[in-house]
Amino acid sequence: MGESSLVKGLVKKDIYILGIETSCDDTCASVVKNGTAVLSSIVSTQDEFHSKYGGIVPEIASRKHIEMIGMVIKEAIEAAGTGFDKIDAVSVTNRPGLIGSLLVGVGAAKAISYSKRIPLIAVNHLEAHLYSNMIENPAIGSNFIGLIVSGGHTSLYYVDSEKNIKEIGHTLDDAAGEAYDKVARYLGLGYPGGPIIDKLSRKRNLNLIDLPRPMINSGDFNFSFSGLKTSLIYKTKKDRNLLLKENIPSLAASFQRSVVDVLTSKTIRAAKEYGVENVLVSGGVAANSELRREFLKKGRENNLKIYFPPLYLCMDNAVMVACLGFYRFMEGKYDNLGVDVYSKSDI
Amino acid sequence: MNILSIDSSTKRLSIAASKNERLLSEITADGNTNHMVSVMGMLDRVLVKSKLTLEEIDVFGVNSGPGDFTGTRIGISIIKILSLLENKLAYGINSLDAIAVGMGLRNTGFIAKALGKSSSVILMPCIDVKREEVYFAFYNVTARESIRRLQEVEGKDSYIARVTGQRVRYTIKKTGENILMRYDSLKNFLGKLTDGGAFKVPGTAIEYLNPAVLIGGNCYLSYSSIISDIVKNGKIFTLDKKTVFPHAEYINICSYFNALKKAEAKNIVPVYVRDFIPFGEK
Repeated sequence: MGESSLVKGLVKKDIYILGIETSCDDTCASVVKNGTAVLSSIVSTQDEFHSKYGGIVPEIASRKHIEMIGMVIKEAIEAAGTGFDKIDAVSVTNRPGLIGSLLVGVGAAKAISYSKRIPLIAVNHLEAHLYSNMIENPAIGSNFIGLIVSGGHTSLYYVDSEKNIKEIGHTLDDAAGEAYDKVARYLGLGYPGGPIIDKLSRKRNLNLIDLPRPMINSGDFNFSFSGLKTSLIYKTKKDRNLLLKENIPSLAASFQRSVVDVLTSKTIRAAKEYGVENVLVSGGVAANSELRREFLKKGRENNLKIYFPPLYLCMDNAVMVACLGFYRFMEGKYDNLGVDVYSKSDI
Repeated sequence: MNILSIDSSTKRLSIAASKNERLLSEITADGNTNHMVSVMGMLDRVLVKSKLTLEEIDVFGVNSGPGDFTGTRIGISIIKILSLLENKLAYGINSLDAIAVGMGLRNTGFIAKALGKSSSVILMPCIDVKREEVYFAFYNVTARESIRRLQEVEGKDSYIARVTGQRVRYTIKKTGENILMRYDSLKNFLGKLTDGGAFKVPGTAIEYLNPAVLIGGNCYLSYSSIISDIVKNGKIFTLDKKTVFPHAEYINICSYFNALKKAEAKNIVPVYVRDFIPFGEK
């Protein structure tokens, strides 16, 4: 690697990683220095294109990625002020996600790796989400429970002292973010549902409707949210008054209350069962204000330290991909140019 | 001018490097590759065999479709980023243009003979785009036309490429628009264009006398009885069984001429033959 090799204690060189993320519907690129300094973070979202469908349409997502990929990468490099020549490695998400979307990012990353003769590092999107917490807290690499909660995923992980990642629970149907989108669509609130419902839920009447806490006592660490949505729909069909305009915010608040209860209770229980002190929450729903409040409260009550990424790193981004890439780079764990893309996760 | 192109739009991944109109090296896989896995290795081998470095490439090209959903994107993403990094032009070439060039290259004998008999030579690349539809266009082939004269008379879009036969240069010029049609309407449609002995280019006032139309592309694989029927009478339509799939060499040629014409290198996006209408659209 010539000039890029790091000789401990004698010569210290800054390591710049270019991260690329195209697993779902956001085209992202970022340059991160030494795993912690975010020099640029570019995200091209597609919300306006998918909003009329109330959810993501894979074909459209893939089209938008191919349109935007060149511009997004160029902007990330220009905003970072590094040029391509200072980049030490390119890190890209190659699983899990939409195949048509992943291909765009991985193809671009391979071109960069080949042209600039720098290592290619292919990462797992979910593992990258865990690393979104390590930008500001690089020291917590191990011994924690990680909750990834977004539009596409709701899963619990145990990461041991050797940094082995084990999935200990996941949603059996909808992801929490997906449930937010569906409920918001049902209540006529727009897309994406999370931020809208979060805003609407502040200081509302939680006694208007009684919703279940699905699987809160299931004895395992799996989740389920489609029953919660169904319960809401059923009750509002039985009593039409609930759907009056003035009641919508309270319906939203009750739904959110239920989701937050389930997510926080099961995560805290997992932390206690696995004997860890740290809990890392990531993913788009980690931006939810009520989830954050409730987690911090339960954390204090249970002597646990709860970590959240800064708001802009909760949604899909390439900063976390570059951060994870940095640690892989330092371990010498590169991939070859024949890596494939996968719709499913290997953790 | 050195050109490097990827055609990943069909099952047969193809990569080629050319110097001007001359092919240096092409590798075309057999149809069993996982394109994402194989593409970079093949690209590297083509450059090595061509004795070129990436930096020495002046123009990049890619088949931008229509073609396989995932495959097409692989090529476009790689070429787009290579051209960004190397700061060189990149052209997205339509599959029909590429196949037309291939048909020209491989049928110079047929072209020479037809032109010798004062026929107008029309190339008709025609591809299966699923949903029981075919996608095609028409290209006129002429000999000894000076490129500069063609350009002056009809503007920069007047020709797509030149191919060389036995000591003759042929100019391939697109005529009319791309057409999407149900396969079972094809025979009647072509019949109407040629009844009266001349070839009327649809959507235009152009007519070619004594037409000799060569049908190529993969449509005869999917709809062999329809195509056989069309060429059966042998007078106007002939089948080119050799040029079924686009090759990267043809993309190179199209890109080369685009560069010569100083055609605008737009942001490359996949070509779609239909408007996409998802389920549940409001």
